[in-house]
Amino acid sequence: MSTLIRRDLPTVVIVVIGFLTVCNLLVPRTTIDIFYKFSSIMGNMITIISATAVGIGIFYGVTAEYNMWRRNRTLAQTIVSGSFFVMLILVFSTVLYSWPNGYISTEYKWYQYKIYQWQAQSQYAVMFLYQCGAVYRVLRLRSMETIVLSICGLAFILRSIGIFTYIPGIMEFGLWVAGAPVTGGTRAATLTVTIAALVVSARALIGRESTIIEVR
Amino acid sequence: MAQKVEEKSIWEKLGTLDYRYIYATFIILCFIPLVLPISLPAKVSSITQDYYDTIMAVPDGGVIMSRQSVSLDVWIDTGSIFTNTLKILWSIPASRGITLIMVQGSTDALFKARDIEAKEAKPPADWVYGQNWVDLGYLPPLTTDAGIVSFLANFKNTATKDAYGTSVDTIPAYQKVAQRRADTTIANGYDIDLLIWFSWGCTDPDWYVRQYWTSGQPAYKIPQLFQTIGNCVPNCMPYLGKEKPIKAYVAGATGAAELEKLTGFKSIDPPGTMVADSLNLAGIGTVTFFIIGNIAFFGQRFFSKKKE
Repeated sequence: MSTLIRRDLPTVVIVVIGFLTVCNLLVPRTTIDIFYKFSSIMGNMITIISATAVGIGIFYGVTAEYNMWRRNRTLAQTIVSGSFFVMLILVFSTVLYSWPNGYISTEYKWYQYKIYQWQAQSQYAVMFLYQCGAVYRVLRLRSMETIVLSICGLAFILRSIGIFTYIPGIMEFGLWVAGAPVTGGTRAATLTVTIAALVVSARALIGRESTIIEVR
Repeated sequence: MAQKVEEKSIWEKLGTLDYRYIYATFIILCFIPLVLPISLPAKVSSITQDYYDTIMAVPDGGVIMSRQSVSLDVWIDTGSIFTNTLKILWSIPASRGITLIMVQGSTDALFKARDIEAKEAKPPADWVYGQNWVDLGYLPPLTTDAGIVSFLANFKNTATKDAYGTSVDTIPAYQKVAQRRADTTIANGYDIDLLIWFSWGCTDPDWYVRQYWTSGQPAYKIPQLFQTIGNCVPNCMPYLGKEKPIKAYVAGATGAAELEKLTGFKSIDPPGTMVADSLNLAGIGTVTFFIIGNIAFFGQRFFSKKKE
């Protein structure tokens, strides 16, 4: 398949769609209505494409899990992969068995209440334990970065603990930390990624983006 | 010849505690409230107070939309917010003429919300289904931008029937909403006085503000209340304020405990105050280990004998 089909044509399609979608945000609808209509149609397409991608992703995930077990037939891997397939079959069977009630069927509710809810929350509990251990081991006031991180983190934790909110100013300081430095950092990261994406797109348009032009 | 094993200093020992001791400590701390109700003191924050006041300040004859996006994997942390908010809504006297529209935004909400409404947060006698509240059911299009735009333009674009299959044209509560403002033949975003929504997707505040506040011509400017986990609070802060889209939020078990203290409504599934106590004790443990770690760090730095 030629480079035109594999690389250039998809790039042009993506750029044109992206450009027209951005125009919807920049050009008032009262001035030019077509950008809004285009954006709405693309919005519907996104739903279809996302659902298709999820389906393909599930298929890929299942095959990847199976191949992983084939390459590494140890007891631990068998338990991990086996539990994955058991859960997959269990959920699929439950929904099929209870068709057409589906999500509101007694069987699906049983699975959600008795298995999924506790399994998911246990995962978060384990993650919480690891984070607590990390706070102890990693948050040492050895540099300006860790000092600032520790102050902000502690402020937010203390604001969330009922007893400490009786200390004057803790609640207000915790709210300020949440609203200013944390939000600022998040927005800065988002803005950086967005600007980087625009720059890469522009470079791709003028043929100077090596990641698209060639594979090294 | 046997190698000489250098004994660790007290500072090194403090700084390299076995992780098993740390995990065991936290497990015990989180477990205590389960067997011994403590009810640690908690101050009701101004934001939680605003949350309650905003609901109560909806004008008589107004419309509250509750977008129930329950998620079972964070139910233990957020479930009592959902349950107690429902109890707050039911506590509004029906004589005020407020209409409540329920919409489920997740598959978990589809059955969990109904279970809560059927057991713990049953509507009182004066809240009659179809008369002053309606459940439009699970609407998957509301998970997309295009779907929300269509829904806010006219609810019937997405929901022609309620959750029980009844045409909305025959439901008095729905018709009452449609006849309120602007176009009196349709129910749309301009008829909503307050939107209560839940999410633990931390980027959702941007989305909800974009769709429910700034979109529409003229803009819908629907006031919102946000139910979430603690992590997502920073993301809603830029939109939080009396003149801004999000009037207040309740976050996590701590916020739920504040809401319980403020309203007197106790949640059973899950028990909000008990979960908050576990969280509080774990927070105390976190701060304690942070202090221990740094005492060890500075002790090693300033008081340990330097190796020759």
